[in-house]
Amino acid sequence: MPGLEVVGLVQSYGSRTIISGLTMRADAGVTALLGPNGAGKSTLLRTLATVTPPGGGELRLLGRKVDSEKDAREVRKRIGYLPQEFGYHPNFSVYEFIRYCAWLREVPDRTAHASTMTALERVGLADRRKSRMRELSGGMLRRAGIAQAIAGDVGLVLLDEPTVGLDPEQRLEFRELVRTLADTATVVLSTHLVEDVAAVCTRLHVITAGRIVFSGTPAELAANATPGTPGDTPLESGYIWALRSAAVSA
Amino acid sequence: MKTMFGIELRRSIMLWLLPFTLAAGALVAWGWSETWLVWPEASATTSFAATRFSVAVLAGVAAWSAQRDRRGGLRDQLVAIARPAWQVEAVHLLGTMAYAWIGLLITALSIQLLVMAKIGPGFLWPSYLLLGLTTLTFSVAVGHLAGRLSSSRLIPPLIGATMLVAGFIAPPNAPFDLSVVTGPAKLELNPSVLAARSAFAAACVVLAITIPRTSAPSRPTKQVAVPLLAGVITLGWLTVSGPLQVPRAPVARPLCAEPAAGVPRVCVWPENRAYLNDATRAARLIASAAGGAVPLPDTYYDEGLSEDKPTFTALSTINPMIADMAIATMPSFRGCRDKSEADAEERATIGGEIWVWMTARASGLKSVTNDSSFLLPAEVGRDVDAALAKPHDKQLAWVKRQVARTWEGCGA
Repeated sequence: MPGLEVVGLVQSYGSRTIISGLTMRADAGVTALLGPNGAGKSTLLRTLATVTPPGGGELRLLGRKVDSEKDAREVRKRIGYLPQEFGYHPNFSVYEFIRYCAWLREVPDRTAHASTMTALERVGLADRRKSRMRELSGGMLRRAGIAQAIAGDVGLVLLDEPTVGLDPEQRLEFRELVRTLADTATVVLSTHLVEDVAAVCTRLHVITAGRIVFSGTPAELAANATPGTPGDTPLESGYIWALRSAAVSA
Repeated sequence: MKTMFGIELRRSIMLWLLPFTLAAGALVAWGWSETWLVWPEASATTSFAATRFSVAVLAGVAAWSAQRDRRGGLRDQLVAIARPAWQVEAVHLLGTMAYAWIGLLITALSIQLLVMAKIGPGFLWPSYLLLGLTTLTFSVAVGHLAGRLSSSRLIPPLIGATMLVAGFIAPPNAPFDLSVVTGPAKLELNPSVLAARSAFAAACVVLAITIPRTSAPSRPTKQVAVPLLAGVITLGWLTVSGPLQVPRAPVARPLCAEPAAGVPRVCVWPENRAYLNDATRAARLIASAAGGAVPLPDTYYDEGLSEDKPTFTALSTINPMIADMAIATMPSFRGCRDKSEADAEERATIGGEIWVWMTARASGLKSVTNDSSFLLPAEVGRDVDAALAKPHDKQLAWVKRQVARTWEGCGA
């Protein structure tokens, strides 16, 4: 069963179409949405997180077709979502905030404490659980954001630009965390950083102007790059090649 | 749910502000401490003290707290949740509301214990506590609602100031007045108003937790219309529910002092037991001042106990009761009918001189013209002062002459 499946997705803001007829799926493992700023990655993730209902097309999450608020509420119990702009209550302690997020996701009371502690341990914030959220550094806040997304029985984890604000060491830790998450959940992360994709993703979709212009493995993308395409790594060259090919065909 | 409520309680700013609201309430209650001798007044004081200033603080804090999701940038995270939004809001609102109720509880317990220590066993009247409860609930709900609907930083101080001003400018005894200043035994809270206020407060709570934020992606019509309609209906009910305090039905067996020769008996509401000794003393002073020259009634009744008998208002201070009893002694208050307006005016002027004289004598005053508690025509003040300056027997002779003129046709 795929973690998510999208067929002919359309998403607009007012008269402006952001995503038009997008089709994709993500199975167990880590799938990246790679694309430049403004490509529609965040809009797609917000749609997948059921923040915004689709303007058209079909959305299937964790094996369940989502076309009503009731369906959305059901699947949200098992979706962890870290938005690009992660919000928090500054006067809550770290533990309280993660517990609060687990409560919002209807994690059962009997397991909520254990789920919260496990999530904090996985992101390395267990020893800061009593600190106030406002006392955390940027990197710690990002880790807290990931913790709130993975607390409970989460089957689909959606991470929007999760490595922004992390220092190199934290990014390494994050990559390790994402790999372990993929053991039990479908992980979809959006990024414009090719090195993150190379390090952790099993599959990727290159997205630009609201369309997917490449789907495959990082190795396949790297192999597609034609000689002379700029880039410091083969994957980066493949990515640039995909974007340029899309621009030409458009 | 319990854990989340605990978190909301711990993280509410009211945790720090509660002592200040309690202190403000204690100051208000201390200002009314003379009325604590009896349960109905103590009950009204409880309601007043627990709400007077705290409604402003609570409404402002509720509004500020309700804005926290937007301040914290949790918009997307709160849309993509499995738990129904009303539950999230309900627990959040309860976190602020609990402090309002705790404040009322602490105030009520404190005054209960103080009054018990003064006058013995008894209880605060639940109706006044319910009045305070509905006011506090309404204030918090309205503040929360305002905070959910607008993210403006002006909203919390504005809603707090509005509640404070509303408490001062609401017409007294109107059904939507935030509280009552006094609770005399002759009055009780109108059950119809209490029911309407409770329903309105409940409707405000429902509104506060169910109406979607203005930034919510969709606002189902039913979700907005139903609680809004409930709010309008209960507000309409409240508007037509009558005055806040209404007269009580007289009790069959009022509490009366032991009769004494030559002294009118005094009867009070059973709840005013603590005033009975002073009221009896006032009656004795009146009888002594009258010196047999002024016909006295058989009994003085606490206000509200009898419609057509001489009444006074039982209080914790004796001088107003003396004045009340002196006035109640006058023939115009004892069913005398005048033949013409001129007769009535003359009887009122002479009667006025007698009651002022009697009040002054009973209170031990030597002059009334310089006493601001008497609002007297200069001529009356002069006459009474002139009488008070005379020897006792001449004063009695003067008052007898006045009585003869005033009581003419009244069977004196």
